Amino acid sequence: MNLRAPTYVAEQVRHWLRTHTYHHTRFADVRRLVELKEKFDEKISLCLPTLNEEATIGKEILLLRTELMQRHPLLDEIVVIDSGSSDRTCEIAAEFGAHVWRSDDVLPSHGTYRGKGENLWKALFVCSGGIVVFVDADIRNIRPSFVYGLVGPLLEDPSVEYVKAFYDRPLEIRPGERGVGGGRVTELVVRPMLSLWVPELTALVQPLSGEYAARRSVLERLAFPVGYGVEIAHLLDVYHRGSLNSFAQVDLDVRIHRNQSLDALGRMSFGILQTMLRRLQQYGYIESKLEWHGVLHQCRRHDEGCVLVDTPWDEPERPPMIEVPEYRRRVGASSRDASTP
Amino acid sequence: MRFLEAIESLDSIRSQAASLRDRLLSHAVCLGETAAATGQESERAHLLAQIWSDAGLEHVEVDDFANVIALWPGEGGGSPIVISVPLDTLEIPESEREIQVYPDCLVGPFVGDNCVALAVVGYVPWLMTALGVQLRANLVLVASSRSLGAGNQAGLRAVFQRIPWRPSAVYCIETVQLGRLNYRAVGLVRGSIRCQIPPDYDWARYGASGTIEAVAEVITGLVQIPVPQRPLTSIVLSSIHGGVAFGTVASETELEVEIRSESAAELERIRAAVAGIVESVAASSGKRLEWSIAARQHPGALDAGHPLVAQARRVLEALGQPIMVYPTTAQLAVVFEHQLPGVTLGLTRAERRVDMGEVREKLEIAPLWDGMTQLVLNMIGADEMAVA
Repeated sequence: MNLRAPTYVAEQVRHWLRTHTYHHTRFADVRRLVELKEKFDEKISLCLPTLNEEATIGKEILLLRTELMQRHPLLDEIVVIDSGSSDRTCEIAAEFGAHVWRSDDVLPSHGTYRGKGENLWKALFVCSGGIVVFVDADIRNIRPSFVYGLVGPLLEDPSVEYVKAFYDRPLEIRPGERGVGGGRVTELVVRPMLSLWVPELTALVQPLSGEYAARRSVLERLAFPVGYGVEIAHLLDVYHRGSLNSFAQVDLDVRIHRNQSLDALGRMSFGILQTMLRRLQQYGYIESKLEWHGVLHQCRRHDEGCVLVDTPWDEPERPPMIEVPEYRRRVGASSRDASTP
Repeated sequence: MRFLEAIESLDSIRSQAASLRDRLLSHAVCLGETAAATGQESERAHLLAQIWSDAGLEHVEVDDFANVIALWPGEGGGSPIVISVPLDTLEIPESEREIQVYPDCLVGPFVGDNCVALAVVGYVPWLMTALGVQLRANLVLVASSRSLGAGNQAGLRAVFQRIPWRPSAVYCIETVQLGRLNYRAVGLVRGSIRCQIPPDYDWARYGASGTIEAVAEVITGLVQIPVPQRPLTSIVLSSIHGGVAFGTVASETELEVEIRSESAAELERIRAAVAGIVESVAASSGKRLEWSIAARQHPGALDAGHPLVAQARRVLEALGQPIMVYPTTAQLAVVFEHQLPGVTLGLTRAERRVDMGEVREKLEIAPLWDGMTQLVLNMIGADEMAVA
């Protein structure tokens, strides 16, 4: 594959940043968004993937449901997909009015993997909106802007298919600073990789952010890696199905959440790298066939010395939902729809 | 609905109040996570004004003090009734302001002080409308700024100085504790004693010392001031700051002191005694000592048999809530300063535990519906009294 000239890419990115990057306040008139939604006869679903989020899930559902379902009917449903919480996450979510599904109970004939991507794939099956919003459930400072900010570009511009969030994360930066962009995995793994092969996508400030909204017509045609690779896979797939203009990104100001350990970030990076390399081969950026060991080796120091900890880590992928017979039956799609590019 | 009918309809009022759960909790969380340090309440004030407007209140305004004032117009007749809630809270960094929401409780920094009360009182008129209650007197809601510490209740004082009418009753509302019935306000004098080493201090003099020793001498004097048990009086040493490390002499030390008393004469006697001790230590130590007063409140009280007190007690008894009577140091003193009748009531229960950290509180949700019912009943009763 021929790479594009750096100057062309830089100009394209600059133009996109001017035309497709917004601040959430642009969409703060939620009544106007509701009018747009009604005009397009659209339904909007909010999906929250959870695993032991009892400290934050109650507030997320309470605030979003009160403001964006009861006060302004922007959302039609809030769906929680839980991958086996051992705390009160499911009970609390149901108490505050969400539809709660256990991942194991959705499409049981397809089995279950453990991972965020698996939850999102199953959420797509159980929710019904033509626009689907995904928001992580560990946000400590949730506000309605996290949802209406993401929905706004999709309602305003029919050519936008996929909207990503970006924000400051004050736990990762010193007081008074603004963050440089993404988190550690983004800046140390994803951005360098994108810069090497798909520099157009470096325009996205936080390509791994867990808050995004997309049209069902796009999501149902995407494969879902079951783990951490789901976000980067979506970006590469949507980009190759359309263009940079298929995306928009929205500044949500500040997101406060718990920080992950370096060990956990290492596992995340390992999964993301596997997904990226697969996609880079698939789209012809890397021509030779790559093979790799699916085991992450992490060295840990103990009083007696160092120990090598091996973690087998594979990122299997779920097929596009439109190819799943149960889904096609549910939405009334024919098998021909599944092969439509 | 009249007071006697209302007191027979507790269950229906409670269930109407409970139907507001999600809206109230949502507003309380947003208010609680919005900064409102004393003197810097503007952001919370404007958010509250929006919430109160959405709740159907009229003429909602944020004044120059960042007080929020709103009106629920009556049918006509009687002097206005005022509900007042403190707006400010202690300063908390943004990343630590999180409030957690569970089906039975809220957990967060100072969640009992006072975001829940701010949200709840805004919906009391909505609740009364849903119950078919229309007051004849105007109901005026006030969220008062600068209520804490050196703020000296400046917001509420400004409101009372500004309004051209005289309220028939003032209800001071705190989030916790449900069952409190305060109708006595303790007077107080809050101030700080600052000790500094003057520039010309002779460090070579034998026995030369820093400022901590001088302040310790002041404390020795303070604890020897006679304090009567009746009228209820106390001297509280609130905080002390000074010094850096071993090997250095503290060049400045500050001691915060609060004098509380039900007697204005006792307050003045102790204030003068503190001033005398400070002056005496300054003279003997050669250090600069200054006693500056940051806040003053005068003591006051209603009779235990006052109709407002009797009515509030009757409502709590009807709700089956144990009644807690004790003097308060908060808004009520300003109410009495202006020769107005008033009581302080609480809305729910909360606890602060060592294992939750210094500032986090756990606030129960279920008792709130009794707390709101209590407010509705008191408003109906106060309205009947105002018209009579």
